[in-house]
Amino acid sequence: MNSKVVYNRRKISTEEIRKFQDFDALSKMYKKDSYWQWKSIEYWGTVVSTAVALLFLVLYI
Amino acid sequence: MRSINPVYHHSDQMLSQEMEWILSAKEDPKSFAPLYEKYHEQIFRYVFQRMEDKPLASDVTSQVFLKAMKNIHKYEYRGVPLGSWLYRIAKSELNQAYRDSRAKRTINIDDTQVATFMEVFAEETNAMNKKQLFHALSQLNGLDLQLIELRYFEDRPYKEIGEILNIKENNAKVKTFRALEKLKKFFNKNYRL
Repeated sequence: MNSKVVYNRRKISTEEIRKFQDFDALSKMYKKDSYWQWKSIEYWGTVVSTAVALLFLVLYI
Repeated sequence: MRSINPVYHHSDQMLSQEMEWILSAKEDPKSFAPLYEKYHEQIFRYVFQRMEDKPLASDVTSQVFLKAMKNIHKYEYRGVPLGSWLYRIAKSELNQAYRDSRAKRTINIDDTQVATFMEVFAEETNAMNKKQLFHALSQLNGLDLQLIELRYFEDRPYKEIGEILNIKENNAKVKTFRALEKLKKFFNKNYRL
């Protein structure tokens, strides 16, 4: 396995980690991701094929 | 005897409080905030232990929570804290970061951990042995390294290791023992070279 060994690295403090904590930014990422999910080919592909199948069922059965 | 990780292990009251937060987050992802606050440091430390760069560790940690928020509706309570599920996501996000070459697999080790291994191997702690140990660690495969890190670097009990790796506690114990044997073998092999 290609790995690197780091010896006696300075311990990171809780305060330092807290600086990286940002739930608002995470919520924004979540919203953005959900929006793009709506625009995805998979989403619309599923919607269109379901609609076509339903139409076929209504018309021919 | 190894101590129990108090951040990871929960009382019944803590588990039921967490369950309430999970149910709220399933209804509305904005309610994920208390779970994020509770687990952010643990997950960040887990990720940062395995890579070099702090901003990149923060990026991977954010991806872990983003994935958790998106999939919280699928989460099923199995009597263990949400942390074990988050660690499993972190494990897969880390592997993705290594595959994308965004991060290099890093093994962070300190004096205390080196001393622990030397004690287990019944060897003296000196510069040459340290070098042999570092080389032996870098020869381990992904799973074995993970087991050694979880047990000997992070001092986690087998129950917790099992939950993180999604294996039985006994299996975690056996696999960790085998990983240590492999490490010892690599160490001795390097020693003779």
